[in-house]
Amino acid sequence: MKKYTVIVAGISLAFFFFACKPDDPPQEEVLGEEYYSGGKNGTSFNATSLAYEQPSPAVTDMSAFKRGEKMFETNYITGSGIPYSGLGPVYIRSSCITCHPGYGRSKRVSTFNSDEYGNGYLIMIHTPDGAICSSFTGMLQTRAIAPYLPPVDESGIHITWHDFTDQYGNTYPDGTRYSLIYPTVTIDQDKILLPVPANYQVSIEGTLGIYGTGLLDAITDADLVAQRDLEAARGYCKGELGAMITEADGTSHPGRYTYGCTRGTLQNGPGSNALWNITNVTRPDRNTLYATQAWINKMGELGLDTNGFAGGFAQTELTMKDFDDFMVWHRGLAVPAARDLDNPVVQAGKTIFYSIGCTACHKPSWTTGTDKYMSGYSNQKIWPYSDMLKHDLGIKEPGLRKKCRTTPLWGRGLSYLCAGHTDKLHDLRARNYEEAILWHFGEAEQARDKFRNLTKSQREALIKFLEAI
Amino acid sequence: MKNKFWKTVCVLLVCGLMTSMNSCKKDPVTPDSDDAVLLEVLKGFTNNTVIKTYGLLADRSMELLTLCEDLQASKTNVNVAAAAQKWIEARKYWEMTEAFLFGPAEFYALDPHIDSWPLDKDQLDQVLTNPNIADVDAAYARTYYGESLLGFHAIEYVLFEDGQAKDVSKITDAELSFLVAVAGVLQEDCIRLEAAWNSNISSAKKTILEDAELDIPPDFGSEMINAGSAGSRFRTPQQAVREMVGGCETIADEVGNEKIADPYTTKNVLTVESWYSWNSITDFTDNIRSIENVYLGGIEGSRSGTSLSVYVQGKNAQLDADIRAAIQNAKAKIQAIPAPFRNHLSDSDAQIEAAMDACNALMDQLSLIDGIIE
Repeated sequence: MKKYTVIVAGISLAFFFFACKPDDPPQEEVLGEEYYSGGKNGTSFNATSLAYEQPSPAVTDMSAFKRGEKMFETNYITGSGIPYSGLGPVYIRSSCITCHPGYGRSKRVSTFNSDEYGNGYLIMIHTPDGAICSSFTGMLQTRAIAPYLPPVDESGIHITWHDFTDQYGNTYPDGTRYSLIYPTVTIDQDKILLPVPANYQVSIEGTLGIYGTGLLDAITDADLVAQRDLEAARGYCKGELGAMITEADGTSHPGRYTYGCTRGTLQNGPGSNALWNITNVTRPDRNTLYATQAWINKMGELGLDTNGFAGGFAQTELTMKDFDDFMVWHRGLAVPAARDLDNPVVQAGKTIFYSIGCTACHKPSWTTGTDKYMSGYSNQKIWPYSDMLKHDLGIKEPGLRKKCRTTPLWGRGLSYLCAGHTDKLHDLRARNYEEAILWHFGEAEQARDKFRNLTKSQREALIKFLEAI
Repeated sequence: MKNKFWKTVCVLLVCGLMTSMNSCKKDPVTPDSDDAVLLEVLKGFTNNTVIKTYGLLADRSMELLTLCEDLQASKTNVNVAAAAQKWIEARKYWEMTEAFLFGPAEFYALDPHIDSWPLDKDQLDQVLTNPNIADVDAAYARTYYGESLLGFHAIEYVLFEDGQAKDVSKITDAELSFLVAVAGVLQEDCIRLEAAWNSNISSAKKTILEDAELDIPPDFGSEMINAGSAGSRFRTPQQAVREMVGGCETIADEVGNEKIADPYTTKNVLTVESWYSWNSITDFTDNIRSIENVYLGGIEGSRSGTSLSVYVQGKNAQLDADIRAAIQNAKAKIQAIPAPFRNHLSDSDAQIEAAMDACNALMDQLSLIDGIIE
């Protein structure tokens, strides 16, 4: 890990600027503020396959960062008292990184296999109105340590991909054709161990990336509300603010994390929760088993020991020091700097991005407030390209969530290098940027139409811009 | 930490100043000239270091499987010793790949399959009670055993005890069935890793993959060699060379700040990798050799072609000398840790800290390469 590269690069570049004569290329343009996607203190200039794994210049405790990194990357094992133990008895994956290949998003697959790296779909069993069926946890558990059995045997999960044809026969006005696919998911009834209502449905969601989430945490609640109000006052693309979520300290915050905006702060966010519930490794602030009463009852019926499963455990498997270090790492992951912004094609793409309506929801920048956890994150101008609000894209078979948070676009152009794939959208149905744009129906259909009417080179330029940011 | 930081800042400030001055010349080195030499570096790295090392690793893993099968057929101490010796040889080549864990090792999860740690002993005990364990083969192990029951450490558990080849009387028939199945998976994974960098593997290796119904992934070696051209995920040769350097920095960091630092700071013997063979110091040294091979080109005893060192020397001879010295220093300081590492976590602070410092110094030196790549 390059500990101080970013700070030093910045200082070196300052030398560069001052050393050059007036007739030299205007380097200040090359390092304009948009290059610093995560602000001066939250950006890494590493553009290798390690780009999503770098510490921000704002990280002050590298030892804690390294420990947290190890907790994210390691495979948890069963038993206790051994480093990285406490897996199970029922769980979703044995490591965090399994679902975040290269620290990025999971990849699109046709066969669910929770042992496979990058095969990171989360599965939800829910009623048609979107409520998780009570026998199951919010994210379905498909693994258990013998002799326990998982709520669902994952061999019974089937992901089927279907072709989709839009109202234009999947053809641009210039005659170029495109292809779109979407998933449906079923689970064989005989592979479901627990009671389930007759009208149950199954949805999938790919994981999100991790870098930059600490900076998103530093956006103030008031600014989120102001953005909601701004959009409410206009006649289109009126974003919905996440519901208020009460934290352990009694404060309430609008949801800003996950596709459904179901988590309000990073300290109580999806990563903080996942360290516990994906593996079922307990810690003092999450000292209970992540399992439903229906599953515990079923294990009891099978004659298995369920002693202590229903309450909290006095002896936990991680300490709060472990968790604090994990959060230093989580919060400290830098955003990769933008690349190639001075390239004429990228600049042409940027002009298109700003002119066809993308920025209505993909709000380019924010300025953070005061960050109480990582002071360097305070007052940073960041470029996530998201309004952090939920919108309805009107897509075929959206699954559990009809409205999804606008995805931050920063750093996504490095996904192929870092994570080995370019899949996008909440269920990873889009195999590249072009397909992701073409799935923008609903509130974004006007912008979609404008995209369709661009020339081929204009469409390519727009995608070059997306790859660069 | 602070002193090191400011030292690094000062060194890089000088480099930054030199770079800035150089960048203001009217006739800078044309980008094309560096592209050509960097492509040579990438070609040498891919063919003479990566593919060669993975090839040797795959060869040793095939021999290891054969020796495990021999042990199952004839339970003797001689056969345990032979398999254990081959494990050490194969392990050496694996550790010498850890400076290039990017790409296929990561994309296809071959790294955690080959070298997941710690071993899940509780689950292994469950597996060994399976009444059908004698019928378990590599295909079954691949499907039903997670990463924590596969790879070098699973094999190590059966073959070693307290740093020695295990007495044959202590190895059960169930463990031998497990051993052969897991050694089969290791063989397949090592061959697949070689194939992912060089699709032109031997027909014997191809047959093993075909029989296991494992595909040969797209040729990542070609992407590295053809950086900057269509079909490569590396947009420029410079980006691919930075990937090489990043791999080296990462393993220098991991050896110094995790593999050695974790056991040293926690004083927990269970945090020392290679529990059963006590091979840790050799593992760490081979990790540094991995960096050495990437930097100097080829592998030990077979250096050839335009190496990263040649490129760095052309740009900054002092930096090249410093990196070479830092590599030798890191190896020497690691070797100076009293063996076995697990038994000396608390009584030899100076040597252990020196080894950690040497790894960090190497990482710092390697990080300076970034500033000279053009």
